[in-house]
Amino acid sequence: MNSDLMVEKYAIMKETKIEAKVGNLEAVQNFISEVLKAASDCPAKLQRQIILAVEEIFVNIALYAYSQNVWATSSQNKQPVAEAGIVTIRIAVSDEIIIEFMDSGIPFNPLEIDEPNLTSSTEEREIGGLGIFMVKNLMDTIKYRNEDNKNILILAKKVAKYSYPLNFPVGEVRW
Amino acid sequence: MNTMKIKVLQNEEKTTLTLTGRLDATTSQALQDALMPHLGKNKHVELDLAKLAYTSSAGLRVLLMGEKTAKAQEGRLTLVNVTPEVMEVFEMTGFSGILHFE
Repeated sequence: MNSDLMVEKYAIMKETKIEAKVGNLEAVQNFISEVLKAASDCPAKLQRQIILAVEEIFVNIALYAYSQNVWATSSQNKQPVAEAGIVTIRIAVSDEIIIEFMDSGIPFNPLEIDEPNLTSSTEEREIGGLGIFMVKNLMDTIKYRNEDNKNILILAKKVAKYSYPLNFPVGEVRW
Repeated sequence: MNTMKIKVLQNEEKTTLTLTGRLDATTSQALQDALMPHLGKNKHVELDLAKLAYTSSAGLRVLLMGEKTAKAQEGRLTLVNVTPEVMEVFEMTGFSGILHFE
């Protein structure tokens, strides 16, 4: 384990595992909020933006990742999908804030959702895709990959106050 | 943390719903249930958002549904006292162009 390196790079690293249901939104936002508050250099506006992005991603997972098909398949085979119904959320803070969501639900890349048309008329306006659109807007980086049948989504946002870049590539964090 | 209160005040002129708290995936259904019955032909519904500090896309969904219904039924839905935090979300999503502010 390269723990010295991690301590050097991240002021804070936390992880939580939680059931993927909308009712857990408050617990998830509190988990993120507490870390952001502990990172005293994270401005209030940035905290707000991150909390919003976290809702959009978590709720999306809660609503769609573990549809009945996944549950049915796992019970039929008598081999439950590992950590079915669970989302693992990790947050690391250095000169940027990195949040990782991992679930073993239906493979789904939110970056493939069509961009919403923000100028269409009221009648034609649709809500689909707005959540992900906001996340793209609020964060500097959003990356998706599917690995070992897990959806892994990583959000990152620079904390503007810091002036010394640490230059490690997003998506290659060692936890 | 994630709660929202809705106060309804009705007079001959309009119905005012005052929202206090956060409009998110766990509270947006409450707004939908409170708002929709008041919309209708020649009816004016006002949302007072002075004490609403947060909305996510779940809240936008209900506001869009309300605006579409009001428009289709020749009623009015207006928003007053929108906080900068919530306005930021309206602007980011183009909702500032379709919702009505007073």
